[in-house]
Amino acid sequence: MNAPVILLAEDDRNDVFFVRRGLEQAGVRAGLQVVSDGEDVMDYLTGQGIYGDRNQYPMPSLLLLDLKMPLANGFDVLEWLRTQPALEYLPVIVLTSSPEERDRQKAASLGATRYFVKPPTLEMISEIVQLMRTAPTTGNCH
Amino acid sequence: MGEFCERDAFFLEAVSSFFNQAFENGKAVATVGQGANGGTAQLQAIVDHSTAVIYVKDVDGKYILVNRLVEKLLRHSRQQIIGKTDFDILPEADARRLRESDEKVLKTGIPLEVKEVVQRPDGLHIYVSVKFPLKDTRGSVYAEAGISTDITDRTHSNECRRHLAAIVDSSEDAIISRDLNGIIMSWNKGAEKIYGYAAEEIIGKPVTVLIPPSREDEDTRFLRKGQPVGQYETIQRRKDGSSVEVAVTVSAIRDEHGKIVGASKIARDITSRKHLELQQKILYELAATVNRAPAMPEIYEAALDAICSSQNTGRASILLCDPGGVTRFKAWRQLSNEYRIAAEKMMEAKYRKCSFDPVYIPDVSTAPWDEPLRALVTREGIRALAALPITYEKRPLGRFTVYYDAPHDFTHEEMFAARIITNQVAFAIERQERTEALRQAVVQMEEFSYSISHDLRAPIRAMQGYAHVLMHDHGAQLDDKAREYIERIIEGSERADRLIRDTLIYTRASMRELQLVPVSLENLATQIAQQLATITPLHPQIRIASPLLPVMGHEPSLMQAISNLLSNAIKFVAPGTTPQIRVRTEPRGDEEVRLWVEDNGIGIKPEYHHRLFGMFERLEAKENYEGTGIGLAIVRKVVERMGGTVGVESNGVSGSKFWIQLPAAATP
Repeated sequence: MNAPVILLAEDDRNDVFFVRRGLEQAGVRAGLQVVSDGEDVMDYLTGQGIYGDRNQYPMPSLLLLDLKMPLANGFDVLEWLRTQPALEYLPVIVLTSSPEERDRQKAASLGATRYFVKPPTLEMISEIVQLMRTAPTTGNCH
Repeated sequence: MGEFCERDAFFLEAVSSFFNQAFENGKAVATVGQGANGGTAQLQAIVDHSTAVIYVKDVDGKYILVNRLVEKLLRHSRQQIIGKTDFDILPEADARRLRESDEKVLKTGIPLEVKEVVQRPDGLHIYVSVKFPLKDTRGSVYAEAGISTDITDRTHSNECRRHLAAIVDSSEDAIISRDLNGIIMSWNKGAEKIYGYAAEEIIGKPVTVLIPPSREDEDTRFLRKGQPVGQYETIQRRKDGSSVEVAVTVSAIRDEHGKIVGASKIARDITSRKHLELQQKILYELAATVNRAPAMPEIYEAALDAICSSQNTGRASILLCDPGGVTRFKAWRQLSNEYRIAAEKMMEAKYRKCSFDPVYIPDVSTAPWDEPLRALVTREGIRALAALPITYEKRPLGRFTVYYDAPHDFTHEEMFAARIITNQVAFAIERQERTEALRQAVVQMEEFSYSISHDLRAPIRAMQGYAHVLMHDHGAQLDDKAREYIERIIEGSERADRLIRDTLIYTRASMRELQLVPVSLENLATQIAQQLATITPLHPQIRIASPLLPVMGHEPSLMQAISNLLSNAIKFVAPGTTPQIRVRTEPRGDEEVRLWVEDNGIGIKPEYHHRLFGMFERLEAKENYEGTGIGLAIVRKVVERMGGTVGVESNGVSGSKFWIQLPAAATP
């Protein structure tokens, strides 16, 4: 059985580095897939183009979502997710540089599971570990 | 002898003939006054009952006969008077005056009518006196008789009547009287002015000629009830058939027995007052609309309505241009399509040269206009117009134009109203522009701060993160010096991040619209205290003096303010001291509540208190106490945004007492 996969939507390569490192140090046994804009998130999750290869790009058990990204942003992705019943299972952790209360509220109202302000903290990593443990290891279309 | 009545004349004759007869009979004149003779007694009785003053003096001025009223007048008894002259009885000046007229009568032998003023105990009395000579059969004068009538009362009432007549006549009000049948009995000059009828042509006519048929009831109402209706405002009819608005006061005219015999009416022309009231109402309503700050088209339409009614016309236009001369709004009342198109073109062409003063053209036939304009206006049936520019600080914004179907004399009130209305519109436009500019600035500021919070913090986070990684993963390979530098990078970047975050919070607090609701300080302070106690290594003791009074505030802002105050209280303690903090509230009057945060910290010297709440103010070196110097500035900003105040009490030795004061809320 493949290790569970986390999909990280992040356009800042530094943040990608810190997330990856944080997960590794916490010993999270998961594959990390990275996309850098909202449209790629949607393509990935629906298997468009290259993402049709689910061996290469397995369905994730968790989405780590930045809010400020080129093209479709994090909110667009959250809104889109609500229209995708097949992805209802997918927990979404927002990881953003915005400490704004209105962003936090908007994310919650759009169905985000948790909301963390960068940089990634220990608390966030342990939350991820928790979610990885309780969530279904993967989606239906493996 | 105008002042004398018939009775006086008869009496005078009787006295005269009596004396003549007595003289003829050879009776001594001197005996007359003695009352010895029966005829004399008879005469005395007659004269005593007269209401006039009656006396007879001989040629030397000695009294021969006096009646009862003479005694009363001179305040001497008959015995004291008879045989004496006026010089013996009266002050010399008075006596001389009387003697002068007496001598005239004696000398000329002709009766004399004089008015005499005599001082009486109850004041000056006016007498009309007839002095006449008594002649013997040969025609020689042997005595002078006088009959004086006190006409003081009569004179007064005549004077009063004259005064009243003058008042009635000079009144601007119409003062009219009518009998019970509604026939006009009197008519003053004011009535002539208001209604157009001369007294001669209206007296004797029914009052209903002044009253439109629909209002006849108003006039007769009071007579039926038998009491005055007091004041009412109504519309009446002039001679030329036009209407006049009047305020009428009606009261009953009664005869000496109190029976109503007619009515008096005082009517005041209130046309101009009514017009002024209307003007005020128009201006007030427009001001109210402008104050409400609705969408601009609503203001323009309201202003156009106001200009039409205030200028007494139904035809008007409003054209508003942008600084570039492009029409931003236009509206027309009762103007043809052809006219609208032409007028708009002209407006745009002339926009930059437009006059800053209103132009009033009472009669277009005499206006110095070029042909196309003249023809256009004439075709439209316009006979008078006013162009009223709307300007703000020498900047043309547009203009109203009002049009009349007939030549029009612009009144002072109309021009005044026009000025106010154009100013209101200019003000509304200016306000709208400034509000829009401000809104834009806020939006830009929001965008700017949003992008700062995301983009500027990213590289700082990277610095911070990589420094941590470097330290963690490669620290062992570095010497102490290198590790210290890395620590400094971490500290510096953490500080930069905090600065950005605090500046953003401050900026946000300055701009955000805050909705004030009742907030429980008790819950809020307890929550914040718990959080701080757990995350602070100093293990502060925070005591909440329950119950804390609720205030009106914005919860997130209050949370920010209280956290900052508590963090400060924890932070600024002498090394090795456990922070001890007390949080309490006290009512300040009925309206406000003050929240105190009291600590056992290092305190602040009074001379620095004024700098405490400023932006980037630090009173302690960075090395001793970390912080951005924005915390208290944020406290003040958010509290002020909630309508509150902040302050501090500290002697600089033993602790500080910070407070914030906000409107009290009802206890939930």
